[in-house]
Amino acid sequence: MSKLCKQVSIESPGPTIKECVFSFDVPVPDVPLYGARIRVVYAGACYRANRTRSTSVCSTSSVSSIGSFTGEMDGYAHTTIPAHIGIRDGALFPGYEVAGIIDAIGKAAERTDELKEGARIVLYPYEGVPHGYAEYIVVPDFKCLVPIPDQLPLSIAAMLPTGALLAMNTVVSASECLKVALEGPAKKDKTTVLIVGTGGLALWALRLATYYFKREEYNDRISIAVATLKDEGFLLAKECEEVNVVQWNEDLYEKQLIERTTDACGGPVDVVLNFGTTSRSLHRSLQCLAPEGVVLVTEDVGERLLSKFAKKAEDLSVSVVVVPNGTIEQLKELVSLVARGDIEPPPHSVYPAEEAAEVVRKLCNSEIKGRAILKFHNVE
Amino acid sequence: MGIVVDNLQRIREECEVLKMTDKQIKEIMCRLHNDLKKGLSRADHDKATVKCWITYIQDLPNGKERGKFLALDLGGTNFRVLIINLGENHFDMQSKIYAIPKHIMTGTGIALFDHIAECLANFMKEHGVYEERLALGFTFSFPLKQLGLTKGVLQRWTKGFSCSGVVGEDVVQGLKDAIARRGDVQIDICAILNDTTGTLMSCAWKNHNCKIGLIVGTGSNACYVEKTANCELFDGEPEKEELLINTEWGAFGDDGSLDFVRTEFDREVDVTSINPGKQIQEKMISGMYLGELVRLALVKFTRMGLLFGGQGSDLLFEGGSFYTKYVSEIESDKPGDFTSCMEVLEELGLSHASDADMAAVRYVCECVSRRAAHLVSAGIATLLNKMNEPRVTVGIDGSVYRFHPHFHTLMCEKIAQLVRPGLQFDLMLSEDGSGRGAALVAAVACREAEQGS
Repeated sequence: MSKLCKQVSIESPGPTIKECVFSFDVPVPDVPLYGARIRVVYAGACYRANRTRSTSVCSTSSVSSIGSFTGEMDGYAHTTIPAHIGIRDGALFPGYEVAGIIDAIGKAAERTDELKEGARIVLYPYEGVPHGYAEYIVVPDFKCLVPIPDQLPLSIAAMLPTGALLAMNTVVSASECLKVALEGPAKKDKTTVLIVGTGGLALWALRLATYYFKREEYNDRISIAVATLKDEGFLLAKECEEVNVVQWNEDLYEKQLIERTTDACGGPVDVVLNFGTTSRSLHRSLQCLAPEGVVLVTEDVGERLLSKFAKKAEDLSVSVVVVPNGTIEQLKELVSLVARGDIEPPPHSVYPAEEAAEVVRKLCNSEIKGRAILKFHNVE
Repeated sequence: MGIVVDNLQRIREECEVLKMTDKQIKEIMCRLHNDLKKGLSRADHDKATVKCWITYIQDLPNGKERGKFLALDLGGTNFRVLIINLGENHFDMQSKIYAIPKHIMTGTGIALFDHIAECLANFMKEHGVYEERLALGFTFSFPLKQLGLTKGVLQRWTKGFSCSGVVGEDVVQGLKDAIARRGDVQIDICAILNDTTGTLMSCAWKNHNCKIGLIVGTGSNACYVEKTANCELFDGEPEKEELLINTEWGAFGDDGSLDFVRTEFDREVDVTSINPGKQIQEKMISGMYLGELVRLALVKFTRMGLLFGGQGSDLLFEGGSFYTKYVSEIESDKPGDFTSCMEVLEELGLSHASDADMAAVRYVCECVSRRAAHLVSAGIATLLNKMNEPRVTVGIDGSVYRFHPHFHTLMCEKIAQLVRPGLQFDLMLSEDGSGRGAALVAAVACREAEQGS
């Protein structure tokens, strides 16, 4: 019972990146009656969305320092966004991404053929996920486990539960907005979609959008553009053909960037998938839109900025729409798409979990190309 | 709360170094006037800091320019390809912006020209002139020694560019070679011009009193109409009385003549730049440096404990993080309102700033932008006094001039104070300089070529 395992918690980085990654020993948890214990093999590097004060399981020696620190963090998380490029660009975003192996199943849980001891799974991020990535975690409900086919490596699967899922839901929402523009009263001939950011979220969105739009009857009436915040992003995005790339050099004036964008897109755009997290990038996105255009943002961004820009959006005759995290069905679909090779995952690198602090620092500075995955166990 | 007031007061005192007295400004005008003369003279040109290059343009637009022209615009904010149709009293223009990634800005000259040629070819395809052989005006906004309307040798790179194998070479030839390497599109005459020239020509097309072209953007430079007789280096026909001179005044001060008004912040900007010791005046005026000057001052005051409770942020201490657009945004707030200031400071990780801090930040921005406006005004007044024309319009372009809320007003006030009594001037925002202006120069080049042969 008193066996210990390692837990890594990644909190929301503050104004200076120090000390937002905490590693400590936790007891190996008991298997819940209706749930399962998972041996975590890979975890996507995300930070914990800060909704409540941290009362996470931790060794006694760390309690006081964590307690006071998260008190500070609460203040920051709700009013301002940490001033790091990687957070602005969506390289590091809030979420919980676990890929692993079922270690033990609760006595009263509903076993299935696919879900038994030794099965490879990813975890659908339900309400109340653990506060960190531990070598062993428990899930109270079997139903949030999604099996992974053999041909899909666990390291890639670890990118799906938040990053890819959120991107997918955003692309689905974008698709619906485009349908309205193309078939609705406006009946536009051509529409443009702009993806902002070249962090992990945007890279997934680019691949998913390219895939889904190709399957639509009006594929030739949709063009995709990507606004990159860094030069490397420019090179990355160029890997997808037929995508316009717009450089959003932050040292340029806002009006210049808007002009550059509308020039590259052949006019104002219809839908913006804004994975940038700053007030500035949202404001800029709004000003690139055609009338009736839509900016899609993630929940944490919407929470902070929606009220601030409601009036502005109304004045411009455009709207800001918040996209929630995707459903478990979407996660299952994603798993099969990626397993079949229909969608190629974005660049990613694997790091040992011990290096989490360094990885987070690099992500904050946008020094990692694509996603970062933390490795806990040598399983494959 | 006495401590808080003292901090703001002390910051004001520290910022006194950023203010120039009228006496200092008059001295600057005197020195600039002498440097202009040196640039124009045969004896002193080689050693002169202000080069006053001959542009070989002796005719301002007469309104009779006609035809379809291509244009390229390199060196400003955007790299742009344009197609212009000059008609009677009207013109139409289409353009497209192309990205220039950093690795091309700092790679080889061949890669740069190949990239430019590729963008040109794509543009020509999209606009249905792929098979045509049009004349082209190349707005190339770097210090250039022109040897004719269609030949210019790059003196040095500025504004963040540093491609190898181009300095000392003919830029037009570089472009022609790249086009030849492609083997698809063809260009007829290719005129080369500076962005200040384009600004002047474009403005003069609309306003016949325009005799000065000024850029206050990523860089700063001016061109003006000089009497041919004063241009000792001009080797062409003397019949035409006027000749357009590209001053390249960004280099004013490279010999130390501005050191008496420069601050530790200017020295720091210079030492850490890609071209230390060069473009000294430009580094006190233009968009590439204004934000950094403000940042260095804020860092100093933070370390002295006068700002932000002595606590900075990773971004504040990182070079280049205080964008010049922040200066415009902060100064756009109404007096007493700090909304934009707060947003900027949040972006920099300084959300703990107090009201007194924000007032101080605004004050620093004002000192830096005001000094820039006064320096430019001194330069313009010097040119106006030298030209001694009763009525001159100054055509101006550039992001700092366009987007700063008070730059225009500051310039109007200051030039009026410094110009000789009796001389009238006005400032006009010039538009489409690199498009219409370039087309007009290409038209002149074509006309000359016809007359010549």
